[in-house]
Amino acid sequence: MDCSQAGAMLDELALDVLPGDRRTALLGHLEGCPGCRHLLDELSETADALLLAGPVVTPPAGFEDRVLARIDTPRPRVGAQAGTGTRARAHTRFRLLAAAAAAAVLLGTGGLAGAHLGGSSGGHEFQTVQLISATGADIGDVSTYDGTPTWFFMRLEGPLPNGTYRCVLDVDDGRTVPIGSLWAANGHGGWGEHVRVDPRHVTAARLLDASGATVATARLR
Amino acid sequence: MASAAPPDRLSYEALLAGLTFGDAEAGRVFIRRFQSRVFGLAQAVLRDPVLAEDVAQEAFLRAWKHGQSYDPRRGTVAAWLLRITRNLAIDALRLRRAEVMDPDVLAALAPPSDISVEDAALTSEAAGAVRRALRSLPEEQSRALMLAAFYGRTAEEISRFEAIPLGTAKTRVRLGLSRIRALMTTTAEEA
Repeated sequence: MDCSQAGAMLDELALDVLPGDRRTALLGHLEGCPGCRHLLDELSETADALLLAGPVVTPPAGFEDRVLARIDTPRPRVGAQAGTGTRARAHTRFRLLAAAAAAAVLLGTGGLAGAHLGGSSGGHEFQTVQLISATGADIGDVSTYDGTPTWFFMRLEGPLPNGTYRCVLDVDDGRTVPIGSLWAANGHGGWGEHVRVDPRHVTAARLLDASGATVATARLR
Repeated sequence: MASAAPPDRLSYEALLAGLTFGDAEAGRVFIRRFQSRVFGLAQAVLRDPVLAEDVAQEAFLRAWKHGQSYDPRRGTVAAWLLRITRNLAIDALRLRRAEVMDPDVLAALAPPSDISVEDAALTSEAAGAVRRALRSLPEEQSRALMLAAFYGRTAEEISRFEAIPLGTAKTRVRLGLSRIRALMTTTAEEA
């Protein structure tokens, strides 16, 4: 398949309506053709924009409660014992594949914005703090929830070099707790993890490069 | 110390992470932010509010179960969730062997007046530009594009539905999508 033949099918692939046989052939071509992949990305973005411009209709009253009730229903897990919806997922990790960019140590003192969502159960709350690079740029954010389970989520939206970065939490008793790795690609990336650390005692969340140097920090306290 | 900021500071990705972790409060906020868009798309495809709610509920369950597979390189959280919704709605249509396809779903694209604050945040200028671009297309291109984008119909199916040659169906979809792309680019450059 050449680019001309591929180009005649890219729109159907972007709209997810390309039949299986032609789809397989096209995917084979795309693997070795950055130009067609770029065009596919553009058309896929347009196809997404069509859905995003779709109708917006308020659902019947109680919709969100009915969804949450189904989420709380026990269900089997692959490779793990069954449990309640919340407990069964307590150790779930959440990774967003993305891009990254470089940096150096940070430790900026300004621009630390937090977001507190009211109404959280049991007095728990969300908090979102900006992730600041060594040069002082806002390159993402860190969100926390001090409920059950407690979780942290680090989001990168800024220029760091592509690669893998370690995510760590600094605790006020002097410990540094690793919570996983963030894969950065083209300026995007994310990592979330359930943790057994009380967020009220976490002073900062940091991204470390391969050498262990801090490339970005979010100060939570 | 962290200072207070508006609740919408919590990113869609973080809310999806919270939902995936089984965090009820994050899940509630996530559902509030997207429910009107998910339900609206399901209803536009199915034309049946009861079935549309079933599909919309299932879409959020899929997001909960498969949130870890979300890849931001392939689109936004909203687009990912709406693709899930569209595919579920199409499956529901096929299960019922229903032929309720109405490419004039365009008529429903006008933003409603009763949307929530959360949904209003998603009803962006970009969405307005797409709607305007759709309305500027020749009717036959718009219909073919709607059949593919919202009803998941292949060129072969569009050919039969519209009683037109297969090549014509493919051309209409391709030109329609390309035209939307061009108009979106022009709008972005003018902004």
